[in-house]
Amino acid sequence: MSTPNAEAESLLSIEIGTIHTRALLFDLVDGQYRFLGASRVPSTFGAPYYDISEGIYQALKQLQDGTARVFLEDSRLVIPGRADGAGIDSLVLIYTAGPGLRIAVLGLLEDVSLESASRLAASTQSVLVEAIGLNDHRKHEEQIDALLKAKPDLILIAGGTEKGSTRSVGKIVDLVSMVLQLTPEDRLPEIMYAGNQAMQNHVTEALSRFGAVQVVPNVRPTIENEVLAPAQEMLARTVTRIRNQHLGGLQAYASITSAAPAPSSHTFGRMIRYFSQINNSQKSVLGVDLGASYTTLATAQQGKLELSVYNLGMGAGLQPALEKSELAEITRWLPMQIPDDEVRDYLWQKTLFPASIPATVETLAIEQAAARQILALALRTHRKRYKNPLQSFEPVLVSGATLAHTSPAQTLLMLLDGLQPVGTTTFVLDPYGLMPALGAAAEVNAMLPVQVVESNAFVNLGTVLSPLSNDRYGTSIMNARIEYESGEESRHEIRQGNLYQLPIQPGQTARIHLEPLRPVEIDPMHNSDTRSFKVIGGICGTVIDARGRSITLPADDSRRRDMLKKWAMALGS
Amino acid sequence: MITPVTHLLPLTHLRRDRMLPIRGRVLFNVGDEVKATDIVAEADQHGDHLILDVRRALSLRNPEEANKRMRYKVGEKVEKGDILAQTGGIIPRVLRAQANGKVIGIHRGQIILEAAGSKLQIRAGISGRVTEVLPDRGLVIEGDGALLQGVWGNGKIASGMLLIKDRSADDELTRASLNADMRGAVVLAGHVTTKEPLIAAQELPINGLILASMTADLMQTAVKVNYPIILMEGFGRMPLNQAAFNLLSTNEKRDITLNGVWDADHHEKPELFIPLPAQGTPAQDYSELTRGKTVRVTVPPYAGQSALLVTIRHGLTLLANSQRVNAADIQLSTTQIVTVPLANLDVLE
Repeated sequence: MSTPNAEAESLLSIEIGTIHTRALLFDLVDGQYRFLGASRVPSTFGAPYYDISEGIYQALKQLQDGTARVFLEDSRLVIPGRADGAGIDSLVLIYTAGPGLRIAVLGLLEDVSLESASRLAASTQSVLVEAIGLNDHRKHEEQIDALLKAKPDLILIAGGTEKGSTRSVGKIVDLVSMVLQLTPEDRLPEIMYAGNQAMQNHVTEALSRFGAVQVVPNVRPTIENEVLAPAQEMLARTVTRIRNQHLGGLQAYASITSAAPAPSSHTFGRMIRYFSQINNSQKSVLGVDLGASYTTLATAQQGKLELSVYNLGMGAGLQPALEKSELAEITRWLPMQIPDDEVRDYLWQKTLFPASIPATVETLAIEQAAARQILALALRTHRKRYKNPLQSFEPVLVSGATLAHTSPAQTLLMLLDGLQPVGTTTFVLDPYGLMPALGAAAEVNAMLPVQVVESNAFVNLGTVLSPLSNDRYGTSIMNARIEYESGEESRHEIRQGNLYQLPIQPGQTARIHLEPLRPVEIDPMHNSDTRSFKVIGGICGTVIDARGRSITLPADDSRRRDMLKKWAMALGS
Repeated sequence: MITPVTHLLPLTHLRRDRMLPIRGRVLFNVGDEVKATDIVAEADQHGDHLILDVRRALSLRNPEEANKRMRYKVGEKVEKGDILAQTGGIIPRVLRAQANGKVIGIHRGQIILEAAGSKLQIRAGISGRVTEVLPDRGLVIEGDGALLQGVWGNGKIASGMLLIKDRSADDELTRASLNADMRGAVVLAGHVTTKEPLIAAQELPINGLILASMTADLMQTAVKVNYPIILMEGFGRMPLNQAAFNLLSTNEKRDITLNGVWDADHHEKPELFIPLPAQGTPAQDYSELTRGKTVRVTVPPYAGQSALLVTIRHGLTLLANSQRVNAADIQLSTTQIVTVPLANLDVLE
């Protein structure tokens, strides 16, 4: 890793994805940092290259062609940038490529330290291969066998509050020691200790003969308090160290990057935390990155981040999504009749060709239906994992090809159906997938992400008001009065079960006054008397989603399809 | 734009690594000829473990005393009933082994016994000559012949004589269409929609099945059968692309190896290899999408059809579903020219 250049201007971000390698260029324009261009080529970490370098080279060549700038000389990246404009000043590298890390977690109490260790493990691309707590009913040897068979890349040990139990932590360390003793030298996992700090010397002494032990701050310093952020930083570095063994060429690039390469989910989470700090809202910021193999979901409130990476996605990630879902949970979102076999076959085919694009109305509908189910699955699991009801968000920031490469109305509808937020929510689309790159850039140049976010690189899809009412479908539940800055007004009757796109142009400011006609909860996070909202129109205007929560679809297929078409038409889709 | 290639090669020189994930034994030397089904490397996997607490079993005061009473050292083999530790005196207390195995650790007065585990075995996957050996890890095999890559495999490897069941390769394989002539052969067929023919083929038995396509809900059955299955096009009802059919037709009755072991996470593909007594040249695994290339459409519409790339369209093309994509015009075998997203094309060469 090279030293960050304080005078750095241009910054190049390389993202090694499971399908594509992308290069993103940022530079100063009239004294402000701007996103200037991107390139995308197939990733080469797998067959036949097994090295990321070829993909990076191709991406840089394509970026050179697209931006008419020179980044390569004799096939090598010019860094730092030269006075003649060639090259770049800073380089960051992030990745999602490669299978999930196999992580085994060990802790004391299932719903305390073990739970925190599991959350920490889930904050990166991982498969939880084993979890053992003090109340594990298996025999000692069965636990050893389970850990050996799990073949973890990383063993994460937590347990013991500060000034709390040491003896029990000792037992867990004994178990790990035995497992390591039985593991072939070339298969020894990395060890991370995130428990009672009074035990750190004991843990290090007991386990360091098997390799370096990473000691990170206790993830559960008290029963009530969970602190994941410092451990997440260390985990990202550990993941990169392990990835160095799997991703050919990563180590070589690490020597010229301005910050250590990091998992994209980690830098994405960093951006969501940043948004929550500037947002200063009672509500959580929600970030969703719907990728091909993974979906990253991050919620943050006033700087406290809750981050989860799920192996659900629109490519290889469809396999676990199909395995965890009934097909009907996907097909219920189809606005046309498509036989179940065709839906299933198409989605499985997509796992084989994750870069493919839906080319017909039907296949687009299938993918968008699957995306809704993945969003719902991920949010449901995230709520359960963090024991947080999480219904209201402000704003919701989203990225991913399925969400970005379609009409804004279809994107918004997918998000509303999949996430089903209540209250007032602004939806913001990151169409170029900049957030992980900006999160990585923040480590090198703090001003860059701030200024790029303030530029028009993000798209305001619109503000959605989702009031809750128990009334029957079709009942008038309230009137919405729009008061424009010009002084003009318009009135709209809101009926239960419908979607409304209010006539507020993109960028236009207006005040919406809601006048309930029936008992209605307008926003659970605001004073119940708050019935007026200032809104700025997004690309989809401003929307009132009066379909209730959770959204109930008619049981009759024909009526259900009509309803879906009606909602789509309401948003102009 | 570079794009991955799916190989359909009448003659090529193939080089494949076969590596163990853990240390083990390599069973061939440089220069040896191997058959596709030969086991070329193997490693011992962990067996189950037993922890025998000598201190507690013999009622000893501390682990050090327990260690002194042990009769076996780390690395020594034991058989069920062997005395592992014993106290002194006229009526000694003993601790016996509960299973055959090996002492693999002694830890705080406890003996850790490992029962014999299963062997992890790697097969050659192609017939050819060993050109490199990495001690304890694996080897490299090189061979010449025809190579066809599929899109999905069930994780099994076998060889046999190639028989073509359906001339058009888009007909459905049923239980009734299997016959005794297919016993021991590798069968090329069109499509499967029910599990009966897959199970019947195992009972026959056949040595392998090459399918154009299969409905996705048969995957569990396909993984369970004891012979390799390779899908050339994927899931759904798709005919075999004409280029693959032509190549397989010219090799009917020849020995063919189906290697259904593949790692999708690393963009690997299941392979069909037909060894030939001729010298091929290695093929490129990436290609440019350019005019005149033979391509295959990977997803609907036109999924599984091979075509000629006529032109890559400038800028973005608006599809009927309102998606704006980079697209190409391709000429199908019916001579019809259609527009498809570039991302839905695979180069066949």
